[in-house]
Amino acid sequence: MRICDLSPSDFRAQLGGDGIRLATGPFNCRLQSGIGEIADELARLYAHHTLVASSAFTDFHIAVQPGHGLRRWLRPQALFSVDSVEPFTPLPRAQALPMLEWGLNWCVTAYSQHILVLHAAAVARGNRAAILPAPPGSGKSTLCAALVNRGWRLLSDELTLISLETGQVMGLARPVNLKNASIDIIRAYAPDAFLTRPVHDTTKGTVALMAPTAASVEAVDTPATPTWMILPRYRAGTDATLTPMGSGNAFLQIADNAMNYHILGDRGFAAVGRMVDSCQSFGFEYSRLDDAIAVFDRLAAEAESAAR
Amino acid sequence: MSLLVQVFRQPDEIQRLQAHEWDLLVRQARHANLLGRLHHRLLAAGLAADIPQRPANHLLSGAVMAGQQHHSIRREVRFLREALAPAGIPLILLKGAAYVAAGLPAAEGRLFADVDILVPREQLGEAESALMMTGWQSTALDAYDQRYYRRWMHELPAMQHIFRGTALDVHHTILPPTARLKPDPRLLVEASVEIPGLPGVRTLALPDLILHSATHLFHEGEPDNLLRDLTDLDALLRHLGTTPGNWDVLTARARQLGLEGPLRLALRYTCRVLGTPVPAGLDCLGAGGPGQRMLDAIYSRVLRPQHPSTADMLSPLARKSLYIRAHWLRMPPHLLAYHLAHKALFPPAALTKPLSDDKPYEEPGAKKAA
Amino acid sequence: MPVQRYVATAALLEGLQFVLWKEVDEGWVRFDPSAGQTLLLAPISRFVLDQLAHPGRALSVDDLSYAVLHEEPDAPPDDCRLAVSAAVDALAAARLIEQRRPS
Repeated sequence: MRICDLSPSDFRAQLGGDGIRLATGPFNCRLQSGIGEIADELARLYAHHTLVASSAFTDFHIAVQPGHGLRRWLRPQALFSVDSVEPFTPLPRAQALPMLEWGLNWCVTAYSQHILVLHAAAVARGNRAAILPAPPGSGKSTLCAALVNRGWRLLSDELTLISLETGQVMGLARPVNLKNASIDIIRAYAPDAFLTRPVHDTTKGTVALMAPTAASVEAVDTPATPTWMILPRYRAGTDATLTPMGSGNAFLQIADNAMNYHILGDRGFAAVGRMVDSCQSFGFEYSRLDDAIAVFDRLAAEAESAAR
Repeated sequence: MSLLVQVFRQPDEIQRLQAHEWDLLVRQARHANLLGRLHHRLLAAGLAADIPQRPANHLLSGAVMAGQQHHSIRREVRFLREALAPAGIPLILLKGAAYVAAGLPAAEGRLFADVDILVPREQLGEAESALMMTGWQSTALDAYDQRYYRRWMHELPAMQHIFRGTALDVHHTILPPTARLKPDPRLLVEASVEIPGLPGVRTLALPDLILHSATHLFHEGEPDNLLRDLTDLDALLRHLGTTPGNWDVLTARARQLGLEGPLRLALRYTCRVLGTPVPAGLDCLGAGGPGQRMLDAIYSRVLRPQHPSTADMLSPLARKSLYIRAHWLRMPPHLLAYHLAHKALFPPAALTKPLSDDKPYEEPGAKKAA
Repeated sequence: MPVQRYVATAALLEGLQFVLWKEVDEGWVRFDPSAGQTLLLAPISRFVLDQLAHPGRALSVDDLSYAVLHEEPDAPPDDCRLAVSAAVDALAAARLIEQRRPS
């Protein structure tokens, strides 16, 4: 059963009550919120995600609640907590939905040292994954959102999970976080995609969340093999160009963009090494989205024909 | 009895647990900073196959965190040795740093936030200078704090390294000078032992490590840490018991240092709550009196659930967790001069980027200091 | 003028048993868990490091250059010396080796 199978009133009631329990890839999450106005958009963002029984093990018990006391009404706040731990200071109530996403990312980063977690986007064609590590402001999310709307399946926008046992990417298929100019760009590029209303004045500027495609969510439990490691850089006016990267450099780029490389020690070293061995690694400059997608499509086609 | 305590006492209890009980166990363990220790406890009991996948991941995650931190503690210990040795000051480790450096079972799976060392009182000033010259800074900001610490406490104000951010507590006794009990620190220093394989690095002798842990059991501010500290003591005592004659050494030492009272109380406590094997005569059956009353009060504190463990609404109260602090504050420095090594033979066009420990990912709002 | 000799640092020697290597296009990635360091080393830097990673051994740039030439007899000696110097500087900056202190 999926979120979209719940009536809006049931969804709202559960969200405000015992919580909505759903699977985001390998993690079972329980979401509770007394901030009723996020219910409709939340239900649309997670429409295709599977509901999980309350008797099942929940990995993250999450709540986004109104501020305490006076701050419930005066300059109202939203508070994020995971199992009664509050890792963030409160934010304005209007930012409750992005806060939920950031909070979920925090949980994955803080509590998953049994896997390699990269600060990177990942998309897949078939079961071949392209991993896009990039510092903030590199245009990674815009590129990711565009790819996802042109036949690539979303594994993750922000945190790429690599199994230490198999080396495969485990998808989350959670909403894509778009900022500022990207919001309008993607609206134009993918008019059928669901985007939340823009939320202004966050520390990252204006933010909107884009729902993952149904296909991405349905395939979320199918792992993908890291095949390409691509470091994207948006540069106005440039043609889409791939520059091959040496495996040593690629190693350092991946390790540098890993959230927990140094925590994992030997296992981190082995996991990054394995990834570097299985991937072709590139630097990538682009400006126009269609050109960028064409490059990715070509890589996929080459891999496909090499396999035959 | 809370689920966590039950499972520590009797690890094979896990075989009867349902999914929602595992859920609770993991959360209780995380709040008590015992995820990693629980992982090791269950594995040591041969129960790995009885842990379902999801909770197993969480336990492993806790153990991995602890394991990595041990590297950074060992690294800090080496830096401390470099700082103190030239000044002729012995490096004597206490508590967690001692357990880690000496490879004691008490170190397994456990996160330790600070390094604690013992320095002879007459060398305290020199020690502080030597440390400050190598980048350690006092965290007590004003003159009042400084005076307070030096006069009343048994340590310098907590220090922090300016580059590495690691925390250091420098003690000259194991209890505040104002405490009723006054174990002679010179005896502790005399009995300290060098760690095999780590020249110049010493720890308190095992009986003294145990007595230190025992005297501090009831001095902790937060009740949540009580269970964690009990499991430390339990691990130390079990290790002590593996050598015949050691229990006698421990009781004799307690008498010598005037710490029989705290030891007896602590033994009664670990025995009753965690089932630590304690020889007859030192056992956990206390008879009435004020000691008993205190014991019962403490007993009920530990046995209440570590956190709001109900199936419904989560508590609105935010709780600071040592786990979060340990996670965010102890990132060791990455590579230092990678880019220089890289320059050795490469053509200038090569793309290089130094590794750093500035995380590219930033949370909105400030992280709460813990 | 006494010849400058280099030795392994204590940090290098104490962590040696835990170090892991991976061969890559540009040379080697060296992972040192006890130092918390990951380095990308050119082949010559690895070679120099391997020569020095022994307790009590002290070598000069000349000693190291001869060692390289022994392995690669066709290498131009001047280039070799330059490369070794650069490698030594890089490894010293990474605190893996240091100048031997006069006794």
